[in-house]
Amino acid sequence: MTRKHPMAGELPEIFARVAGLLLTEPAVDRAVANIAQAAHESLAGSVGAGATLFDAQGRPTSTASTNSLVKQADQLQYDLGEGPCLAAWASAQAVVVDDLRREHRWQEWARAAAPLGLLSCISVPLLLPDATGNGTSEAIGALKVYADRAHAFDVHSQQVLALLAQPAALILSNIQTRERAAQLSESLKDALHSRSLIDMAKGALMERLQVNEREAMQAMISRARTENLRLSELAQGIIAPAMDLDPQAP
Amino acid sequence: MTAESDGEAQRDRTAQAFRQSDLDVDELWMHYFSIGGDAGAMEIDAYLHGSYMLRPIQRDLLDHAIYELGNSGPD
Repeated sequence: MTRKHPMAGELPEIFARVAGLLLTEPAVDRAVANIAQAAHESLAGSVGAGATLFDAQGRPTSTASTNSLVKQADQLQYDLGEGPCLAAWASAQAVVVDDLRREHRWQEWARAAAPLGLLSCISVPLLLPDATGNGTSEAIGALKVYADRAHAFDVHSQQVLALLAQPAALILSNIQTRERAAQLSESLKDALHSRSLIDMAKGALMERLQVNEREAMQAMISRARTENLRLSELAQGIIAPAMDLDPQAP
Repeated sequence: MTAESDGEAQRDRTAQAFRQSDLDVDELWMHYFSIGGDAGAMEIDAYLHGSYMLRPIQRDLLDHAIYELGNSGPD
């Protein structure tokens, strides 16, 4: 290797920027976009970068790219279920594609992506440090950079990208956890609201139609399906008239 | 048909619909809960794997929860 201390002077600057971008960013989607941008700016030869977070089933939950070509190349991977980012995430190892035209590991993807003009790429996993002590680190996503010429990246680029990915993974994971907790309490609130609407409507129907609980529920379900309404919407319609009742009525 | 075989037939249909969907149990449970379901996520999981039986109204609600999630898409 010719350069023993790659970008020694620049790295602290990159870190500072990444940490600054991510720590002040409350939303996962924006943080993911920031890290993609930082990767793009940090790697010589990059024509575009992307970052993706996956769920446990390998479905992308948050994804961002610095340009539309990268977005298309990534989307092809998720559609086809193969490609360097998925491999980097699944194996928790860096993956390098030197020349997409000669790529045999993911032939379908390579064939579909080559016309985009992206010829080489590096993808590194976003790894959480081993917290359980059993020697495994969890991959939560992948960070990738594309170039428009073959063999654009070397070991040094791979190191820089991996160094970027380390703090990014940790911070992204924290933002994600925070966001999930907020989402969970939001969906619980919605769920409880819908549940009580449906419960009230069920009670109203039982009385109006003189039926038991299951019959009332079945009547609601079949009406919801016929009228193409959500059960909660239908329930709202059932109880709404009761709210407008003339208070003078017996 | 006995009530028991009715329940099992319904369970098979629901389990099949679940397998054909792209849902995970937690996601399904949250929606089932939101439309009035009373069983827990673990019971739902066991029911879908054929090792637990739900009361009739709970079976109807679970079936409908899958139906609604399958029709709605992300909103």
